[in-house]
Amino acid sequence: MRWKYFIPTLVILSAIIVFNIIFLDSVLKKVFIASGEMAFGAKVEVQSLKTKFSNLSIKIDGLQIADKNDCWKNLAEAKTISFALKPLPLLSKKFIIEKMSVEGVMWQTKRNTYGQLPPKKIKKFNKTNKNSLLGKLTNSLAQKGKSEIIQLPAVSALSDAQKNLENISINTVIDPAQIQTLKEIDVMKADVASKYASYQSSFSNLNVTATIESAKSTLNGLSDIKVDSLENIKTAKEKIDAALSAKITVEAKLNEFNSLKSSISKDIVTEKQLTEKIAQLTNADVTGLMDKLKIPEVSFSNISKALFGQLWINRVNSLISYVELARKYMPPKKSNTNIILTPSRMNGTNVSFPKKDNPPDFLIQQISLSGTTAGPGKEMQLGTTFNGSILNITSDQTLLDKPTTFQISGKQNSSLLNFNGTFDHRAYPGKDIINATLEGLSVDAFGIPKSEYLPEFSNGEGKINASLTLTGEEIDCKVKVILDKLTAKKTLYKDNEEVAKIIDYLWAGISDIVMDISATGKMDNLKFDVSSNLDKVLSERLKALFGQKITEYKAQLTQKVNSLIASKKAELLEEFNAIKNEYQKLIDEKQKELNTQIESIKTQVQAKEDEIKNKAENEKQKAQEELQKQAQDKLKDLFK
Amino acid sequence: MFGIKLLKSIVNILQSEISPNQIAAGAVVGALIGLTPVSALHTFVLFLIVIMLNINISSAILSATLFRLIGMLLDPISDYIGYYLLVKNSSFTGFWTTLYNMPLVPYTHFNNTVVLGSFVVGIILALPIFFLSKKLLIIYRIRFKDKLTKWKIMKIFNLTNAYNVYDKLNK
Repeated sequence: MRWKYFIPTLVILSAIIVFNIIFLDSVLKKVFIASGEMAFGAKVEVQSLKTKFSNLSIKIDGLQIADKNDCWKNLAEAKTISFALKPLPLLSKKFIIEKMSVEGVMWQTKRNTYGQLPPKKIKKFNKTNKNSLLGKLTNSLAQKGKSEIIQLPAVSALSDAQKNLENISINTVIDPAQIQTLKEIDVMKADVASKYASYQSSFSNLNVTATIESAKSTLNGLSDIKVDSLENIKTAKEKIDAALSAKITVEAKLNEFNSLKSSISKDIVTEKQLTEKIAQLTNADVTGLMDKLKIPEVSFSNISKALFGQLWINRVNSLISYVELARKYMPPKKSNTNIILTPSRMNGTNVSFPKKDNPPDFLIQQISLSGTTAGPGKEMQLGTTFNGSILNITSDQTLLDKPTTFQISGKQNSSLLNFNGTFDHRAYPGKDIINATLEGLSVDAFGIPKSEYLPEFSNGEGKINASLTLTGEEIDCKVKVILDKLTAKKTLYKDNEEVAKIIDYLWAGISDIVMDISATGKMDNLKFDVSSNLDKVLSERLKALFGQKITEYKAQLTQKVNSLIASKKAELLEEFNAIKNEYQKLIDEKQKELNTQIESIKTQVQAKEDEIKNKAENEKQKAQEELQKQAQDKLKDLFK
Repeated sequence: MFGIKLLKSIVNILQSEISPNQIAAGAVVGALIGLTPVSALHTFVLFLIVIMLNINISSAILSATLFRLIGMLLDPISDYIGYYLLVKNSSFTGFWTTLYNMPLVPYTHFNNTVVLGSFVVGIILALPIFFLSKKLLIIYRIRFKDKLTKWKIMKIFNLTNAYNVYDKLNK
C-alpha cells in the first residue's frame, strides 16, 4: 500500500467535491438548459437554480421556454419550480420526486429576446426529431394545409373588379363572324338536306313502283278473263294463282318499305332536337363572350377553411408536439419483456432491468401547477387563474402500472378553462388523449387571425371544446368553436371606403361564428376539414357582389346572340320542315299505293273466285236439271 | 508531439529499475481503465487502486492511453459482447436485475452494452497482458537494456527534466 499517497488523494478528492458543490448550481443550470433546448428546439432560459444538500432539493426561478414556431413568444414560462429528490433511491441511480411545485405558469407570453437556437443546435434538434412518427404527422398536417387551404383574393382586388364590371360594354365583344351558332346552322342545313336526299335514294332503290306495276299487269290479266265456260275456269284459276303470288311480292315489298322507314325514323332529327342544339350552341357562344368580358371568377367555397384553417393546423400541431414530447421521454413499451432498451448518448445501448415493486429509474409522482392565462404581450389585462396537477411522469409506466395524467382547471367570472388528458404508454403503440374546454374567452384571447376578410371585433365571447386522441400515429381531433355576441369595428379599412363597404356588406348582421374543425386518419390518409356557418353566408354574399351584374350581362348577350341567329334559325327550320313534309308525303303515297295494290289484288281475286264459284254452281244446276229431264222422259216412256 | 511523448514514456519505463510485476499490474489496470468508454464508478475505483496499491502509475497511464485508442477500434465487438450478455442471453437477466437494483452499482454503467462489453474484454485480456508485458520487460532488460543505454537518444531522454521528475517519482 502506498499510504503516502492516501492523504494527497483524499485532499484532491475533497477539493473536487468542494469545487463541484460550489459550482454545482451553475453546472446543473447549464445541463438543465441544454436538455430543455434539446427537448423543445428553442432557447430555454433560467434566472437562477439553487440546490440544497440538506434535503436534496432544487429550486429553479424564472424559467422561460421559447416557442420554436414563433421565437418572439414563450411557449411557456414559470416563476418558480421546486422539488426534492428522495435520497435512498438516488443510491440506486433512481430519481424519485414525490412532489414538484410549479408556480406562476403562463403561456404564449411575449419575449424580449429572439428565442431561436444557434444553427448548430437546431441541426442537432432536427436530427434527433426528424424521424419521429408524430414529427412526420405534424409535417403531413402542415402539407395538407398548404395543398387544401385556398388563398382568397385580396379584398381590394374584388373592389376593383366590381368597379371594372360597371364599365364593361357588351357590344365590344360581339362579332358576328365569331358566333359559332351561325356557322353551325349552315352546317346543320346542309346536313339535313343531304340526309333527306339519302333517305329518298334508299326508298327509290326499293323499286316500289316497278313492283306495283308488275302486280297491276298481273291483275289486268286476271280481270280480262271471263268465266263463261269450264275451260276458262281453269285459265282463271291460273291467273288467280299468279295474282296471289304478285300479292305476296307486294306484301314483301311493303314489309321491306316499313322496315326501311322505321330504321330511317330513328335517324331523323326532330324540330325540337334542332331547336335544342341551337340553344346549346347559343349558350356556348354566350359563355365564350362572357369570358371575353373578363369578369372575375373567384372560388368562394369553404371560406372558413381559408380564413381559420392555418390557425387550427398550427394549434393542432402544437398539441401534437406536446404528445411527441411525452412519447420521446416516455416511449411506449414494444414487448412484454422487462428489459427496456434505450439508445445511449455515448456508444452502445442502455439496458434497463426494472424490478417489480421497485420504483422506476425516473418518477415524478405529482406536479402541482398554478398560473394565469394572462401575461406579458397578451391583450387581456386580467386572465383566468388556474391550478392543477400532473401525475406519474415516469420512465417506465408499465412498471408503475399507471399512465401519466393531468388535470388543470380555472374559473374566474364567466371565464372557465379545463384541460385534462392521459398519456397511456403502458402498451404499444400507446394512446394519448387531450381534452380542452375553454369558455368565456374574449375575442382577443381567441386569437382571430388577421385577414382582409375579417373585421376587427370589439366585443364577443368565445367557447372552445376540443379533443385530441392519438393512437400510435393515428389522429382523431375534433374541435368545436363558438364565437357569439360579436360586434365588428369599422376602423380597419377607413382609408379605403370601397373595401370597407365590401367588408361591412359581408359581415352585416353576422354576430355568431360556429366552427367545426376535424383532423382524422393516419399520416398517409389524413383528412382535415373546417366548416362553419360562415361558409354559406359569406359565399353567397361574395357571389352576389358580382352575381347581379353578371346575370344582366349574360341576359343581354343571350338576347344579342339570339337576334343575330334568328333569321338563319327560321330559315333552317323552314327548310327542314319543307324537306320533312315532302319526304313524309312521298313515304305516305308509296305506302298507300302498296296497300291499295294489295287490297286490289285481294278484291279482284275474291271476285274472280266468286265468279268461278257461281259459274260452277250454274253449270252444276244445269247438269242436274238436264239429268232430271232425262230421267222424267225415261220414266214417261216406261209408263206409256 | 504526442508520439514523441508516448515513445519517451515507453523508453522511461523500460529503462527504469521498477519491478516487472508492478509495471505489468499497472498495464492491466490501465487497460481496464482505457477500454471503458466513459468515466463510470468502476473507473474511479480502478483509479484509486492504481494510486493506493504498489502498482506502477506510469505504466497504468501509458496502458490506459494505448487501450483508449484500441478500445475505440474494439467498440463494435464490445457492443456485441455487451448486447449478448445483457439482452440475448436471458440466463443472466436475474443477475443483472439484482445488480441494477442494488445501491451504487448502476453508477458503474454496467447496463450499457459497450461498457460491459469492453470491461469483459478487459478482464479476458488481463492475464495475457500481465504475463506478456512482464515477459517482454524481463527479456528487454536482460538482452537489450545495456545496449540501448549507450544510444544517443537515450542520453537525450535522460537529460530531460521530465525524465528527472519521473525518475524521482519512481525512486
